[in-house]
Amino acid sequence: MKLKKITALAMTTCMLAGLFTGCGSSASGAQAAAQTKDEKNYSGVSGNTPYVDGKADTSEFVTVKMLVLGDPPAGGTDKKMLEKLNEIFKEKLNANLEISWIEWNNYDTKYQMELVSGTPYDLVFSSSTWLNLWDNVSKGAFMDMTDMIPYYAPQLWADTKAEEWEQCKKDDKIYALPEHRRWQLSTPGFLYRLDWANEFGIDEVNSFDTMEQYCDGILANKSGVVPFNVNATVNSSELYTLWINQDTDYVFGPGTVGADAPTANNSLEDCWEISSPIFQDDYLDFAKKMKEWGDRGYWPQDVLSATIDTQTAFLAGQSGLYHANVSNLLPMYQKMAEQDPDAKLGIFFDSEKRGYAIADSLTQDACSISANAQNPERALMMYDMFQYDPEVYKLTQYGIEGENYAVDKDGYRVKPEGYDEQLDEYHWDMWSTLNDSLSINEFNPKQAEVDAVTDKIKPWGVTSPWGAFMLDTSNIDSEITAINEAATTWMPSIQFGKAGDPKEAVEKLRDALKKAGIEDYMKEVNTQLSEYEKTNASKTESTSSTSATSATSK
Amino acid sequence: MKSKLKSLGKTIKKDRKFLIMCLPAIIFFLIFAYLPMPGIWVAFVKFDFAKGIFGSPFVGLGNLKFIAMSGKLGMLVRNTILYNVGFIVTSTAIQILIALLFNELTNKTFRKYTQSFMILPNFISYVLVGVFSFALFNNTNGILNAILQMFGQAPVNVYENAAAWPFILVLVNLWKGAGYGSIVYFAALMGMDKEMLEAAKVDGATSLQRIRYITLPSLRPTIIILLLLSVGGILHGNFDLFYNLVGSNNVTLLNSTDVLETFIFRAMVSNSNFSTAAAVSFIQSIFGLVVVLVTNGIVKKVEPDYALF
Repeated sequence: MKLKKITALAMTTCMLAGLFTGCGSSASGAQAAAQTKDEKNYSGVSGNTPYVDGKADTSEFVTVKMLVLGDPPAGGTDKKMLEKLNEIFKEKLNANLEISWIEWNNYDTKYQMELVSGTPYDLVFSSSTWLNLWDNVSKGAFMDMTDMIPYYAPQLWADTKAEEWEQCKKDDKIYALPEHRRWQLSTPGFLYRLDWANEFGIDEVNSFDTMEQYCDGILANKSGVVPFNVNATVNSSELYTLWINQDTDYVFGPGTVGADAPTANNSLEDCWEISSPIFQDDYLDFAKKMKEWGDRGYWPQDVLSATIDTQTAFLAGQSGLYHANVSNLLPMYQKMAEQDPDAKLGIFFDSEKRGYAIADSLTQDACSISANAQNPERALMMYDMFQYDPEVYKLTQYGIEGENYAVDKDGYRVKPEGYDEQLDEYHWDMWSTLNDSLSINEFNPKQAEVDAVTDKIKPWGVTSPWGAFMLDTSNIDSEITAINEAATTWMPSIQFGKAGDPKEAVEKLRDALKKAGIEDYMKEVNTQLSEYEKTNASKTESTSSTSATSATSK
Repeated sequence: MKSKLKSLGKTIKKDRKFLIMCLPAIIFFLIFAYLPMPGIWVAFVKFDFAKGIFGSPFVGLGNLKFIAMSGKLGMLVRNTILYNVGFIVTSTAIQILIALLFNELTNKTFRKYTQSFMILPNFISYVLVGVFSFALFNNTNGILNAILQMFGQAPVNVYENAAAWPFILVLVNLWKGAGYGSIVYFAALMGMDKEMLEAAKVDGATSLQRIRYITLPSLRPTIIILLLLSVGGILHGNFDLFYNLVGSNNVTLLNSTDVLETFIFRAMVSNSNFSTAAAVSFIQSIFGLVVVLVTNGIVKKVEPDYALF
């Protein structure tokens, strides 16, 4: 009896100790293992999948655990898919895959808990933009994959450029697998009715002036249509962003505070210093112009308190403009075709004049391996197949053909006969494995127009010149909050010309920003930026020069 | 001390049946109101997700620095308190009036229907109320301006007229809450001794005199208790009301419509820093407690029977 108690106590202590040391112990264990490493031979980290004579030895059966974010498909289609997938993995990798889901409700806390608890997940969804990837790396949550990738994920290794890996590194070690084979570019713009513009004798809306003509045309010819039927929210900055991109050299980078962005990085070339566009003389001109536009009725009189859904209004032909990110604008072509087949659309991009778009971070949706993973090698082999094996790709991305999806005679992905959304819906939440070259698209009647837009902006892409720079806000928290308050108070009102006399309003905004400590804020950010630039001088030189050339070559 | 403990023990023993009946409520408050209280520490730290509430560095009142930096504290406190005073005074008066009128109604069916209608607005969400008020007041196709134009008057832009909003907000608050709030007073009236009223009637008192000398004085304890309960929230702005009717960043109206809550919303909306939010709400609660204690102290001096504690 007593012995039982003592053993129980001892076991609990061990478990607790294991819990607290968690990641640390296994990492040191991995280092202790004897390492052989050359072109054909590599012992690996766990030792259960050594790389011998140019081939991974998979004789030991293992189970790979994967953690993703999101609610699993309601009908359990993921489990059916997994059965099929594991048949393939059993045959090819002698391994089994298990998937755990963190449901959206309270996901950030749950995710952090999973990492802290030290569960030996092999593949873990991670993100530098919304799940603190780098912070977790510095706390030792993830495993260094630099050595393993060439051996166990050879296709991914070959298909990823050096500068793409650069974005996945901290202290020169790779901690994340990038989302790099899905083309996406975030660049905002105004969607407008090309057929209306042509009617008013405008070929294309592509500048402040043509936009003005277009809006005047609507006021004169389309009664009942508001040129920009919108309502202000605390984050309204459509016209301000347009102005920044059209009439100044500023770019929004790390130093831009809040959604209203009263500060910005000086330019793509001079990107290591921030300043405030608000304090430029041009800003007053912008404010005056917006007052004029507002008085003419380009947007509703009570824009500041109205409740309008601009997207719906645009589709119903009650708004001449709709501002959103390109990823939200492209689906509008299809939606508009359903509403009004005769309507023609055009997009006036904010950065039309300068023709650039800073690419999203490649680690926005990424995959990491947890520090105490048991089978990192086999996990990487699976990951390589997720992204590059056509059979595995289709199975993981779309589910089982005939049940979750079907392919029509033109090669488009459609819903199969008897498809029930509740039972047959399927999704895959390790988003970083998306690969455009293997994807099967859904049918879009306006595909040609969408393609024309993507072809136009594809060359605009510029890799972020700031690399993995992260602003440390610990000394400027109060300033950030106060600046946000001042900015959200004045900037939406000024951009809609509803803050009274523009000169007075701009003065008041500048005054409020000064009081909020914008100068201290910019000083701190600039210090951090220049320090980062100095320590990463060699790397940043190459990236900023490529970005500069691609920006000027347009 | 000892005797006090002893008497406490005695009370527990004597009232144990009642205490057992109270137990669910006591446990509820222990778990949901007292156990989480140490969490208020979050208001005084610079919260770090990895370190947790108690591991994060202590900053004292540093979380409130941004309000001082904005230079708007005076205006915000003024607006918040004035609005709340306005709400409390007007709604108390109107609620009592409604209760009195209901009390005078003799037709029961009519009373029930009217009562239901008056309570209805209470169940309408503020989001919808915001839509209603926009439909009424907006410039392009609002009802108010349509009526004004029908009579050949110039339209008014309500959403750019700061002076109108204190009245609109007080009226909306009344419209929404008066019917529901009158129930308590009405219940108090129902519990009144009817004999007094009948005696007064026999003595020749008019109905106004009966209200003035009998009904109102007997409502006094209810009025005082409800007042004491509502002054505790005097520094809490009604975010739903202000945000949905005015929006949080209509700068032309802010001077007369900005309350602590909308200000904090603007400051926090793009960087969710819940230490700061907790700090502000903690200060509001402390202030509310002080006001309740002071008011209760005054009531205790004047009318000891009506004090809460």
